[in-house]
Amino acid sequence: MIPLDNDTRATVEAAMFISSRPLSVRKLGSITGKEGKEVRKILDEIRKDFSKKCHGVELFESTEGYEIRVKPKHLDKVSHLTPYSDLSRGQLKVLALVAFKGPIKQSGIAKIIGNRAYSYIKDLEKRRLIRTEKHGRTKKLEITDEFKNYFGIEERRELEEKLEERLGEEMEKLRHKEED
Amino acid sequence: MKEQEILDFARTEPNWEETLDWIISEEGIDPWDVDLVELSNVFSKFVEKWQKFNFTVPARIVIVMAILLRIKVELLMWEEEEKEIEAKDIDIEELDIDVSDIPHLEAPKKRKPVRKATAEELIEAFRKAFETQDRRKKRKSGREKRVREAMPIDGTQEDIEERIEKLYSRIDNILENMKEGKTTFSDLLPVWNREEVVKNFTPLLSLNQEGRVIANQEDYFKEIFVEMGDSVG
Repeated sequence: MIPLDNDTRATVEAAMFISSRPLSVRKLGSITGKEGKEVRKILDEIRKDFSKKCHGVELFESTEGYEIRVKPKHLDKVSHLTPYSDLSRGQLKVLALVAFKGPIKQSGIAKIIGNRAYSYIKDLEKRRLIRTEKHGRTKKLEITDEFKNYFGIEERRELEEKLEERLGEEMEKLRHKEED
Repeated sequence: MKEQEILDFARTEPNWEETLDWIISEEGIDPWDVDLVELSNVFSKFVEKWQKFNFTVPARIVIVMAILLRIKVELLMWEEEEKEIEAKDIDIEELDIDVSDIPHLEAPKKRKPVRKATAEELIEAFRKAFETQDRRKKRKSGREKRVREAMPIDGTQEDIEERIEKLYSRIDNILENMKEGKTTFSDLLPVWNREEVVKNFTPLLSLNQEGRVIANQEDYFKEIFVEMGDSVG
């Protein structure tokens, strides 16, 4: 059993707090000068602590690494306090189309938002928020588990209910709008 | 800003508001606290790159750049003036302070609070995606309308061969009465408007290609000089 080192834990927390990008175990190891095994142990401790109800932030693990983020439950109340989102508006439009109209053809998305869609799709695929599957001469796009993780949902249905609640009748019109 | 991104963006034919919006978002400039000097620098670089692709930069975007540069100059001049005033007001020697005694201060680092997108924003983006589509459609149909107006295609259109011959005889008639044996494209048109230019330009190119006339233009968008060619039509 490796004894927990408070100073290292504090450094790991500080690194994740100040970084604008997720940090890998390797990176955290080089910052703290500790082995990966010890860093992982510290990350587990931080995760446990932050998962308590009294904390508004949590330790989030994605394919890019670890980061401290606001718990999805509280995000709606505090998101207006910062204008910086880690998804650009273009990326968000593509993600929304995949989430609410998916599986959707890549060419269909380009017809709706233009040719810039292709680079947004690449970015989102790299972040594993969407996955692509070959479909004839184009690709079909679908959301991933990483997407559900990101928005803190179990099922896509939860988002669809929010969409329904928010847009009402307009929603049906938009969902069935052709990608012409 | 990568060149490919600028190229893709320029293809969407954005207006100046969309351009400013795009630059602010791409460069991660805080939209609530825009540093005008920084924005002006980034905007100039953007226009420079845009021009590199041989795209004509829309006049409004050039105007916005000029306004931003003017604001930048004013801000920098103001800062300079401030510095001069400060320098005159404070004489360190008179204060009798040993500068080496002053401790080195470092401002605490503050995190740039990047957050996740919210489900609400995702829903709003869904609506916005279709607004983008509507805007693109409107822009496209506007463009098509302008082309249709400039080049009406209907049954009353003359045959292209007929237009070529008409233009040739007009050139022939004009040059017959001229000593220098050269006329200009603008003199060949009954009225100088877009429709006439489009109607006569293709026949002129065709005559030039056939060698029946020689058309010369010294510079882009400048006058075209026309003289008779060697091939007699």
